[in-house]
Amino acid sequence: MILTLSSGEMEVVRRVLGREPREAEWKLVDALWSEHCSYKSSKVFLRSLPSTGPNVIMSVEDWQDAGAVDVGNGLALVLKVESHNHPSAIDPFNGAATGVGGILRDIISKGAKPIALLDMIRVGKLDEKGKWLLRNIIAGIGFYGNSVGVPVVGGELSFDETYNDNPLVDVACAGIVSKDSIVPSVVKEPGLRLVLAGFTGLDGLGGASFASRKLSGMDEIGAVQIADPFAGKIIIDVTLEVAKEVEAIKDLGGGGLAVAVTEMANGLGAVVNLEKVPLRFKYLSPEDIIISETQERMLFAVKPERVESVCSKFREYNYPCEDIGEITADPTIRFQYNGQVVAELPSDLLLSPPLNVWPAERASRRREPGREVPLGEALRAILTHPDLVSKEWAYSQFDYEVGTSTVVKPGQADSAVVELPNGKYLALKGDANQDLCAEDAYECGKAIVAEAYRNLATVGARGIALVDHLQFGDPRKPNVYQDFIDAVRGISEASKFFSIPVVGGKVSFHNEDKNGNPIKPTPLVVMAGLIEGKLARNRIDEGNLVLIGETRNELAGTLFSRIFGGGGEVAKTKLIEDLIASNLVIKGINEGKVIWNKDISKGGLAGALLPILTKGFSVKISSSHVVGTSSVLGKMFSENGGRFLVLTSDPQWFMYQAGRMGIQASAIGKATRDGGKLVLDDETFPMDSVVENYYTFLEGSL
Amino acid sequence: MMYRVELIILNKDGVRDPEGETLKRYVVDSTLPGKVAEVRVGKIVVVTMEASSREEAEKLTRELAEQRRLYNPIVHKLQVRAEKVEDGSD
Amino acid sequence: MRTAVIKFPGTTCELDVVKALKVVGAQAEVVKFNSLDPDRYEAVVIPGGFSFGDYLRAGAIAANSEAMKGVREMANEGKLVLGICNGFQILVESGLLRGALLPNINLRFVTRWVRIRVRRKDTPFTGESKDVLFMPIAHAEGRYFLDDEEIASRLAVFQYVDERGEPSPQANPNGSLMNIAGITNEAGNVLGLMPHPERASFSSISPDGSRDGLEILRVFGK
Repeated sequence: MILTLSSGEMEVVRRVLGREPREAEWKLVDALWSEHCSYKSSKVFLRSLPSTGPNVIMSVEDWQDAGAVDVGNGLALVLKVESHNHPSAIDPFNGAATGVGGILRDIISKGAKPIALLDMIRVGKLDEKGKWLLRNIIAGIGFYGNSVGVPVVGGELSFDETYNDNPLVDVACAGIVSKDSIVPSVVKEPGLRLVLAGFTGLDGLGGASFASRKLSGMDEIGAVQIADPFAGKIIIDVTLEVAKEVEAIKDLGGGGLAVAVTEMANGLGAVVNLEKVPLRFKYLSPEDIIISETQERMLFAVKPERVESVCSKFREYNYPCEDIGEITADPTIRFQYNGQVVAELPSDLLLSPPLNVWPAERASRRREPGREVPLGEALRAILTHPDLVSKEWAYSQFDYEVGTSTVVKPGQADSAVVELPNGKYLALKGDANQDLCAEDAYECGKAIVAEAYRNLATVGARGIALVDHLQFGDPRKPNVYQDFIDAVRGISEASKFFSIPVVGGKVSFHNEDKNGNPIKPTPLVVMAGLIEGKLARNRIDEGNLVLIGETRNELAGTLFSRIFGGGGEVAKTKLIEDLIASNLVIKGINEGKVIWNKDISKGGLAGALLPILTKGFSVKISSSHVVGTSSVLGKMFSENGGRFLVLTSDPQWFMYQAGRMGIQASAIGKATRDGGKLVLDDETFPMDSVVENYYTFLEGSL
Repeated sequence: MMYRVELIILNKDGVRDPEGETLKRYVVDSTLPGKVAEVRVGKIVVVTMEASSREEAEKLTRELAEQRRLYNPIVHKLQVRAEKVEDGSD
Repeated sequence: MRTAVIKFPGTTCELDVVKALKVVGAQAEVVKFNSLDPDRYEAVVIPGGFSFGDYLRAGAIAANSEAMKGVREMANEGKLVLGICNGFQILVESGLLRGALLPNINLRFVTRWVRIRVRRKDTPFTGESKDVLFMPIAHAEGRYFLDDEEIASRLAVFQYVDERGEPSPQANPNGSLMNIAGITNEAGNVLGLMPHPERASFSSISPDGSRDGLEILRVFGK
């Protein structure tokens, strides 16, 4: 038996129990106290995130499930983000697909109907292995999302060699439920029956225990989970059908039944009769049934008189459903097999692992001076970079129209927009920035929240809630841990500044390459916002280009520095600029002044011009009107926040309003229909090959 | 000599096969009730190739499958079967 | 028209179809796959999705289900039968429509807004339709195939066309024979198509504000 518990943790268990635990009990503790389930190395810091607000209906207690915010007319929005990085590295198709399944079940656990998915994908270089990973990740997400009928409405796709061995596959989901029908994940009273739907199988069993039994001689089988979206669709449909008849719902995820039962009891006790658990593989031992992580299972707490009604709805689909035990007043979690005790531990012990605060030390980052690169070469490299090309190859594999509510579709704007059942428009966007985070995780934590806020503003929305996903290397490495702490501090500060509650989150540590080097720190936020006024349709047309905000020569931690090295200064996030500039853009949208707009982020001003250039327009820019730095490279490629590029027929309006609000706005040029050129002052850069690359790169490479 | 080599790719024993399970549950069991223990669905790739022996044909195609990820060894098992063909066509 | 919208396990578009049918004033309701009473309805729609996971072949398992016996009965009585996307796949798998729907030529799922030309206006669905309709497709197995081009040409109701209205190879999103997007049966009362009319029935989600899907669905409101 191989456990991840430290010797210190094992001592705590022995001391509290006053005896040596049984084998199954060790496994139970191991699952509950795992980093994945217990947040033992992150919890202390996560508590600093603002989780309350006037619109928060259900705050996330102990970071276990999704939170919910009010979106009016008696409806609540449930939001959640999660990754499936490690499974996707082994089996990208099934790893990514089961990631989608998992997040959907988190949403339906609240009784909410999933209405939209976002996928944020980060892979390494596109060699043979990278292509295999990306093709299968995208196909896997499509396979699951399409099959269950939840549209993938947006996302990100970034390429960085830091992810060569460890791709990041983040999936977020939004769900809608009527405010008074939200189902909790925890119970408050003893006597409820525990009802389990779905077969339990070998999937997700620890590789170690498998190898020791030499069932097939292949030790990775336990780590592989095969996606079954058809079963997932039945689970979704029936769970939503029975949601009103049950007292609590919990998805079976990491740690399987062990974690689901213990967390659902939430301090009360439970008795589980393992012989009642429907098995796909009949030779599973009682110990393995407890910790199997088979997908497409749900646990319900049900009043005894309703068990039959709940299970009959599953049986209608030929789907297994059994009463496996009950919630007890005695605060002990007891798993038994035909009356024989397999594991018996106090709830309190399982739910309260000793928390870790690891040594932290900020890595010294030697700043290299900025690199001088000829403008033409820099433009070509940035504008043809895979991070900025059309992602149609990926999103066309997703059914983004199912649900008949996708108003702003993938590739149309910086945020996706879906219509809610109450007629309101909900905007969604996920943002991360591994370049900036590798330089300064604190500034980056602030910057990704600010970027998400700006992205929502481009369609006319104001942020109302966010969820975060913190992806780092091994927390026991002081530099990694310091980055984690810094990023949380940045996210916390920015979300407080914008008064946006953090209603959920996840932490994923141990993201490393095969030599044990951590990935660039990659915290990610997903923000939801509501459009209270007009929706910006953002259709590119001829017009004047206005740049809102100040451009600073801060090229460290940008796409420019990823490509060319060096870098100079790191962008300092000035949140007040992001707030005011966003206000100005939303005001412009509502007053009909915006033809098209985009926030300035990856690739800087040049990156923001790309969508115009690729729609058959030429752009003429007067660099002296880009204010804040005299460096042309800084003007074109700096990614500092607080900025938007707007196409308008009334540049004076923006300059006047910006002046009143105390920020910069200047008319920097024009977009005209005679396509194919970028003219910067008196220099002309033909864009034909850039435009061709934009449309053909992914299709051609994959 | 020409060999016809079949690469049969199936999920490993112990790894789920939802397609096979669904076929069994909704199609097979209602037609042959109580008779069928398991249904598994996989892929077959047929390669007709020049090789000096059956062993070589099997070895080359197995290497091809491994090098170019025609299957994922973590999830799938691969069966390779070669047989000589007279004139190189089926 | 009293219209049943069938939900198989794995169907995903039943509520979207009901929502769109309400726009044209149809009396539409979702009917679970195991409870279709053909005598209660004047028309039936088989919506899109992934019935039985689309395992084996898209639509194959659903085509052999009890519910399809009821649909066949309705088709034989001359009632209207519409299959959208997976519904079209089920109709060809069950033999109610000719041909087969094969995996897309590039072997990938594809979502895209496409233009389709209405080639036949002598069906109850297309009698008052415009010539060219703008609608999204979203499928992995939509490559229409029939080994007799003459019959295919006669039965084809919709063809993928380009901006100029021509059925060019560039306009063909999946490799379908003769750019065929939808066909009818000999009697004209059974129609199957890969594009989703219900997704082109609301101006807020249409790229250009058009609602061309209603051109086909309107008949259910009569």
